[in-house]
Amino acid sequence: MSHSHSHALPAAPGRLALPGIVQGLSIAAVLAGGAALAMSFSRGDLQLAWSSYLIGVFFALGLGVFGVAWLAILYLARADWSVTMRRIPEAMTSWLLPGGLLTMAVGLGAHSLYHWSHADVVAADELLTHKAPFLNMGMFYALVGVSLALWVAFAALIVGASHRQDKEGGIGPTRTSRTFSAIFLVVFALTISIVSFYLLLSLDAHWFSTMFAVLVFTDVVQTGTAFVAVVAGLMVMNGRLQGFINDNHLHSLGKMVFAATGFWAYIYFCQHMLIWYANIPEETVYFLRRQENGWLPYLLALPALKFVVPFLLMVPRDAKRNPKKLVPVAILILFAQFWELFVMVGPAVSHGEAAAHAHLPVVEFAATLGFIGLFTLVFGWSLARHDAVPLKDPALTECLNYHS
Amino acid sequence: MVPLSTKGVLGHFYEPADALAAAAKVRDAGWTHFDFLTPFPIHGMEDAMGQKRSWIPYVTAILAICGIAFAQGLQNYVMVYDWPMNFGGKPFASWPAFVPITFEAMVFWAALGSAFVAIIAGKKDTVPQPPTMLVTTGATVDKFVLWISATDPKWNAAEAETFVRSLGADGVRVVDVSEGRAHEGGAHA
Repeated sequence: MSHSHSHALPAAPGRLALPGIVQGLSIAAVLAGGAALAMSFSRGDLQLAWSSYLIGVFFALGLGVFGVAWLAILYLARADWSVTMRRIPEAMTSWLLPGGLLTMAVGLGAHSLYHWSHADVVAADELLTHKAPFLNMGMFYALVGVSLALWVAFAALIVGASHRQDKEGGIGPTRTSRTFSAIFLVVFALTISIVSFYLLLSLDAHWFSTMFAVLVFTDVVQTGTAFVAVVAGLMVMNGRLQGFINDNHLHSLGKMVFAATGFWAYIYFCQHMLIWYANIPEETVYFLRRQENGWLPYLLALPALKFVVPFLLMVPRDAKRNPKKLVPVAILILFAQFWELFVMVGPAVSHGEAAAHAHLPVVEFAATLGFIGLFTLVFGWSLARHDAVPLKDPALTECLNYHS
Repeated sequence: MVPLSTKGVLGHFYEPADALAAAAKVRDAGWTHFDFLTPFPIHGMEDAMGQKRSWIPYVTAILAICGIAFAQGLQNYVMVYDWPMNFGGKPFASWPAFVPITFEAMVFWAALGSAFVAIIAGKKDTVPQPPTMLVTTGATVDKFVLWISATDPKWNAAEAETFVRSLGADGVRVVDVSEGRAHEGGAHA
């Protein structure tokens, strides 16, 4: 019997380095972000500086942890279509170690960000006193540190098995990765909650939302898939990985971006509706604060940027298959993620008379660009260290013949 | 009803990949009235057969918009105009409360409507199908059956049979029930 599907492999692509222009842009972004942060630190505007730092560091951290989470999801779903683009999430995970250390540094700015870190405020506030066993700096460093360490460890295990497969081949490393993936998804659900509680939710320690950890998870997935779409789309547009990634693979990736965009709207609306419906003062304060002091336009722009526009643009089939259409939408989603973090963090950093007023997020944006630049440099360094395609993965043929 | 053909040629393939390759060759040879009867959907078959993109997604989109309009209209009419009731002191026209129903109605209209339209359209918008009893039962189990209908403009029984055989098909036979009884030509390979 003839097996016409056993084509010869396309020419092995070797290793991929970041193009010079991307490296240059990344370095420029790092310099601009560093300068913006340094300027606001030196002017003594610590709240602006630290909130910008927090937005940037969390943006990049989300991309890093998405790498592991997505690998785990792909391994467990046996998503053979993703084999040829697996090096992208694998390289994203290498941010977790440097990015994790930069995230721990948020603790140094805790006094500017978190009012629960002031002993006198806590002593005078019954609710904060009650929460003090969880919301204190010791627990902050311990729990966030353990969470980040677990991410680094699982990334090393899952990515390490994939690199071992490059040498040995065989199904063994895939099975190992599946086992670690199953464990990691449980660990991830708990640790992403802890990290998002300490870094973002506790900005307003009186407020609480049962949807918050899910919302941050959704942000991570939407932004992460969008980042992969940018990288894979640019690779296809520039003829890299020819024969390994085609419009069928982009279609599946685009569907993931599309699905995450719909899911974001679902979760964000859930959080809004639960708060609106119950109408409890401790909860409604979140949206009330974002309607005062000029924040309303920023709040209203969020669903447009993060859901309505990208959703409508991505409805046609071609918008997911054609990288020239997919990449711009993915970049818009990355910008919208910055916008969401700004709407989360900006209005929350100060209270009462000193409540932050709405402002164009210039320093915040520069800092985020800086972190994205730094992330991209680490990502590119990691991508170039290994073969661009896991050629010995048993599912490679399945992936090359994938129809979407 | 699905249009039926009384005459044509059948051939079996045993691998989905072989069926895909054969479909592309039939398409490239200029046949238009042909179909593949397969136990399960084969990814990429539409392209291999040279079929146009389906128009069903446009029906889905229109039905989704109709579902949104229906749910918004119904809720605003009932909850605001016809029988306003006070729920927790909230305004009668409370858009957040209307969103879940609107979403569900959109999905309901779009999904069920598309399924109905697809079933109805699928019966009309297809090439004439082979006489039912002459198709091997393998088409629902483990065989991928190529059918070229005699309604094809370039039909020629001998040529069609040779062509299907040249694709590497097994069990090639010309079937003909045009005189009310089955004539089967061609030896079983």
